Amino acid sequence: MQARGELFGDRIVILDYREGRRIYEEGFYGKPLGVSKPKSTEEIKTPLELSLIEGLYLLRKGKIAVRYKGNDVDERELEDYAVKRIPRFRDLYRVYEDLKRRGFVVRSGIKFGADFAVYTLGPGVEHAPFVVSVVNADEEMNATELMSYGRVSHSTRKKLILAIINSSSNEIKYIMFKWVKM
Amino acid sequence: MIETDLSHYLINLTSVKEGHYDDIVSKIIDGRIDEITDRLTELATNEENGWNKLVVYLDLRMRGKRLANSNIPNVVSVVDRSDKPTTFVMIASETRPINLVRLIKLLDLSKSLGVNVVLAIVDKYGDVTYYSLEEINLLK
Repeated sequence: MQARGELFGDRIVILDYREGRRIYEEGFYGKPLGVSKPKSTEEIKTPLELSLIEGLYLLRKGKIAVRYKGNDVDERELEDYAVKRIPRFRDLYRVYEDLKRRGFVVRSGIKFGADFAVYTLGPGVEHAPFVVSVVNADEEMNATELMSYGRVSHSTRKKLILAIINSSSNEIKYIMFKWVKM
Repeated sequence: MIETDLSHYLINLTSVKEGHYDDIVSKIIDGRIDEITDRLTELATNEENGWNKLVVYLDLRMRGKRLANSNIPNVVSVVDRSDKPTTFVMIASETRPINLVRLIKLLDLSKSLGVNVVLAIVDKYGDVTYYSLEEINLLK
């Protein structure tokens, strides 16, 4: 059964908490409103907020339906909407989808200074073993940007993986990046 | 135009000693700067990222590394006692963008040769920070 989400700004909100709980259970998607880290799904008694990345993924998987101002939104419309609102949306989504395809639980990595925190089991069950930052090989990257990634992985003691999207070969390369003493 | 196809560098990876840089660096270490002023100017003006390459070369030499020419532009090779490359050190400057396509090509090349890749970022004061880069097969 599809859960119903409402498109509010850059969030998709599943207002019915029972549906939200089910979606959360399926793969640690989203965050219950007002609860930063639910210890169990029984704790979820508020609407579930999904990011646009999670929302588009779940819409494509047929897990949710999305409504905007009373009308249903299809995949294409949601993607166009997200591209206008979220910088680098297509690159972020591409890597998110690839990580999901590989079976990982993917959450925001912003608190670690990265795009995604990636779990093998899930948040609350383990600490995120690594964080992923998405870069596009076609775009220029400053050394300071790369150095900031290095600092993050060093200070948070997490493995930092650069997901480099190569548009010409249509590939994503995962590169472990870490400070090293020569 | 920056060259990104590195495949032809597969030949002569180990055969050429970095005589040019080696000699300059040796003279810097010996305090014989007067003898190389013109060469330093030439290197800094004519070679891609020439001055930063010299900075990294000097830094690695001071750390006791054996170095050789990889023939790949903007890359210094760390070699073992038999002059076999163990690490390709790609040089980047804090003030210039990093060419990721070239970096990917270098990673592909190094994988086929079993050589490590390190990115040396030289900041605007000349300090060098090293980062290792390794392609991984992300599996759960």
